[in-house]
Amino acid sequence: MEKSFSFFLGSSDSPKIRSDLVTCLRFSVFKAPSGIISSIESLFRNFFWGGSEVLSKINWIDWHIICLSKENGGLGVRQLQEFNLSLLEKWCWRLLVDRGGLWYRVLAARYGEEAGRLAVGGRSVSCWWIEVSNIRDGICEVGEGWFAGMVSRKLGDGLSTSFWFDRWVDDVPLCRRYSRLFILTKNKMATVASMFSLGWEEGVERGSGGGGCRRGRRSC
Amino acid sequence: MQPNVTDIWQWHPDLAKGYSVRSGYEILTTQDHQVLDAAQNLIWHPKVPLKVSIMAWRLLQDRLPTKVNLHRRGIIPNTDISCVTGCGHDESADHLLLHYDVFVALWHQVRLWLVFSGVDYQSIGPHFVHFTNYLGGLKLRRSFLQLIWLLCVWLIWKERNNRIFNNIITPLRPSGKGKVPFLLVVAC
Repeated sequence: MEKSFSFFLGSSDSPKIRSDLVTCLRFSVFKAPSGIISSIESLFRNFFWGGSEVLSKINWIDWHIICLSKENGGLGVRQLQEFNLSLLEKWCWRLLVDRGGLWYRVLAARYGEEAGRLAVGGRSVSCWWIEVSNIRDGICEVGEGWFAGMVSRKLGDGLSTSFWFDRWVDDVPLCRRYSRLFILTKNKMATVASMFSLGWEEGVERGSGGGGCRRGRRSC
Repeated sequence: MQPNVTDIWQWHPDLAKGYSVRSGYEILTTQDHQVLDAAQNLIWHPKVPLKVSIMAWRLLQDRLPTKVNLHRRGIIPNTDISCVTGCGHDESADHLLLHYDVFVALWHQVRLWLVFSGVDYQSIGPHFVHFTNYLGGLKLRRSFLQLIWLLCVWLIWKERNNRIFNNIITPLRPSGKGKVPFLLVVAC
């Protein structure tokens, strides 16, 4: 316990010395185990109600209410688990937008790319990558796939958007919406631009998904 | 499709800037917006120290350790919940702040000082809202009265604690028209 505390709260010997900055740094890289989160929160709670490590005081108000934002009648104390997740979320976002970065290329070399994105990899995978890829794929405590549901592709020339895998039209990627059609497709890696060049009525834009897909069906 | 424009990723909550930890956190913690009591919005004031706001926040939820609340939690026995002055009533937050004679007199003096008259509400939330809006809708006035109300409540609570734990009674001196009530002077 002592050891895990100093891991998340900085390298000091005593868990009492808390450094927000260091917590923040740890939280932005690693997913804190729920046991650690609840231990830290119980320290917060004790402190808030004026208790100490040996003496606990009455918790007059539910911690969840204290954590609500001020607009919702709480005090706006940070919820650690959600904060941790939103920091890790940033990696998922960088996975999308920072593909030229060295860190991405290292990951791509190590785990390989599949369907236009990093593969989860085999058995011996870094624990960091397991957590981040789980969040990217929506395998975590907080509602399934909420991150993927919030990002989409804004079409420009269509050269770097995958026709089947990226969410560029509609709420789900076309490979899932038209899964049977997708199985029959020969070129699964086609970009939107290449599908377009195969023949596609002019004026089809993002948002009018139905038309685009019908044409796409004919061309594959 | 637009030629010569690169495809980009969009983060729906913020299309222009993309993902930020703040917006991610907000989404994860967003709950259905609760309709708040009007008083709840008044506890935050830029000039008021955090401890006072938090005390007012607890007060509005009736979670201050008054004797009635302590009894409810099983800390003190039934026989020990009467008001510190021996007025015979139970010491609930409502009683202490709004009904107990000495502090009623304080409210009265504050109103005298501010030169307005009015009836005090019988429960704390409406009292706060009403007090703040006494002098009409001007923002500056409301903000000032908000400050005064929070100050009074803080003082009353401090005074109550002083009386219980230190046996110190700060007298409420009658003040002439236009003078600041004594308690308020002490606090300022």
